[in-house]
Amino acid sequence: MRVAGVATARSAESGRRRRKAARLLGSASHALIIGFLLVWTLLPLVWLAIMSTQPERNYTTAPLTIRFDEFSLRWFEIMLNKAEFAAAGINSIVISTATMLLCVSIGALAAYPLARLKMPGKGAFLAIIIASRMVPSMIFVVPMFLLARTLGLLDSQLILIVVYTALLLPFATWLLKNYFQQVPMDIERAARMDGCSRSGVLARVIVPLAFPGIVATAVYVFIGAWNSFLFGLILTTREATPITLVLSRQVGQGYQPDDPTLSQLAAAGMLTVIPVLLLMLFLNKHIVRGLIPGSKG
Amino acid sequence: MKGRAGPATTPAKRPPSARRDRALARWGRLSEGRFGGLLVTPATALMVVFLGLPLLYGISVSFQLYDLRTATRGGWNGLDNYRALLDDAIFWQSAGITLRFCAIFVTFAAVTSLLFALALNRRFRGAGVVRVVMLLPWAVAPIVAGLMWRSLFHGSYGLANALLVQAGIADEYIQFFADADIALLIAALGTSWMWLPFFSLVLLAALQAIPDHLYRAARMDGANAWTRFTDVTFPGIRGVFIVTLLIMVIVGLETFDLLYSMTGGGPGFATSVLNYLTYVEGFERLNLGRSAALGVIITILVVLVGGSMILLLRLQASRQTRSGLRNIR
Repeated sequence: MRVAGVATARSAESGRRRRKAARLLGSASHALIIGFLLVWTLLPLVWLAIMSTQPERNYTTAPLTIRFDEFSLRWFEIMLNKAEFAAAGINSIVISTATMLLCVSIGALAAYPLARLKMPGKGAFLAIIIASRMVPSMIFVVPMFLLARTLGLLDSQLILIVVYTALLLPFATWLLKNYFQQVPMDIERAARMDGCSRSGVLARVIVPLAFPGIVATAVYVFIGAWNSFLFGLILTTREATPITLVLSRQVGQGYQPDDPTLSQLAAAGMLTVIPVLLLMLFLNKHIVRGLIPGSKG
Repeated sequence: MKGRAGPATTPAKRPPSARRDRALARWGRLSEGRFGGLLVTPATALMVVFLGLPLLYGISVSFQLYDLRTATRGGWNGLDNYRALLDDAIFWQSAGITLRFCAIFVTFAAVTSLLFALALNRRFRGAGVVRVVMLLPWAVAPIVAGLMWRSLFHGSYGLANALLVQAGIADEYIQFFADADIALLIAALGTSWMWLPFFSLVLLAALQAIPDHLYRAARMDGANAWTRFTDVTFPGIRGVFIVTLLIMVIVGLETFDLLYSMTGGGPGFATSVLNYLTYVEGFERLNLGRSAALGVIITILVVLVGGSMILLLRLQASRQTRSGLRNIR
């Protein structure tokens, strides 16, 4: 063991070599991990993309014969032309958009007092938000089903909008509260001193300044509603089926060795995923910054 | 609206009426508490009516005899649903499956997300791209993720099979999903795939919070990479790491969509975790009472895990305060 301060030229040299070797090993393992990360992340996506653009015989037997000249989007066309699938797509768009608008508007209203104002019961409200994240959504299936049945709202877009809004509102409010808190207090105080009313501050100061955060919250809610499956399964049958449910029906339940038209199924899966992926890529920076407060980049 | 803040885009206003002035004055005089309460009302109302009440109703149904198949809707039967569940071998089988699923999932996800976070904590070429790519699984619907992973390991058209046969390792396509253990393993892998973006980012944020001078001090003391990890890195993220582990357990308890499309609870029963059993009881066996009871049981489990998480956080916070560590961060 080297004694600090007593370093001969030789031990300094071997120390440098050791450190260089350690650094190389570190770089190699680092590259390995990053490589694994990329492959791990992309492989399922890429495979589904390949399946959706190649005829079945190219990928259902070994050796794989993926050919560029057999690339085709016709399975996408077929799925989009299937009435059930197209209608489901529209259902999902309507439901997700409505949920997004409701969550953001109602959430913003609630987030402002939570972020800025003194209010009795604020702590309780926040506790409810955290609690609602911990409760598994499965516990709501039976009561929501009975509620929908009683109100005659089974198989309606409305009930899904209501359910999704209820489930996503707490977290959306919490996100918005965090974003609102990031708006500098000075600007608010200046506006108030200029005679701006409290609701004016919300509308004219907070909302414009926290707009990226609001957008990120909106996207989060939209994605959450779009990707939902369980309540679509429970509460809809024919009219209001969201796209995730119709997709699952293509698969059939459980392990079926003869699932029909694989490429069509893969195309349906891609269609379910692509809108959300595009949204995410578009707004990636905001979403990361918003979901993990304090993270760099 | 009063106030000069904001662009003056409003057209010529109507001459203010006295009544309007009085109304505005009343609004403005609302105390902060009342005003806040007003704004919070829509959200509160929605959550009470569509979350709170259904929750209570669900709990009450769990104490009732409510079987859609035999069309019996009796009244209260107390703890009968729960007793029937605890007497049911299927329940315990499902509980065991849930335990194994969580164990595999948490172990794999914890190790992998930590590795990813450590790797992302360095500056390297293409780090930005990697960050973006890494987030993609977060956006994929669980039902589609189940489909993707099913397609990777499918017994008739899976990529894994194609590669294995092509490489000469296997003679013919392997029915991965016909094996109970392998199916559970793949389900855990698929769930990890979906959640690694979230966990990696949380751990990454924690890693970035560790002050650099601690590492420099460790280096000067001659610490190698491993020692730096055990003495600086891990203690620095221990709290977040434990919280992450507990969140992983909760995620494991709540997985449903992915299992539905990947294995349908099978083969046979092998991937029917408690959450899945809840769905089966309620909407295939149509026994709403028992399904509600299962839902309550799962909720209790989740609350226990979440509660211990909060307790641990409080404990660690107080321990840090007492030892004076808190001031450093």
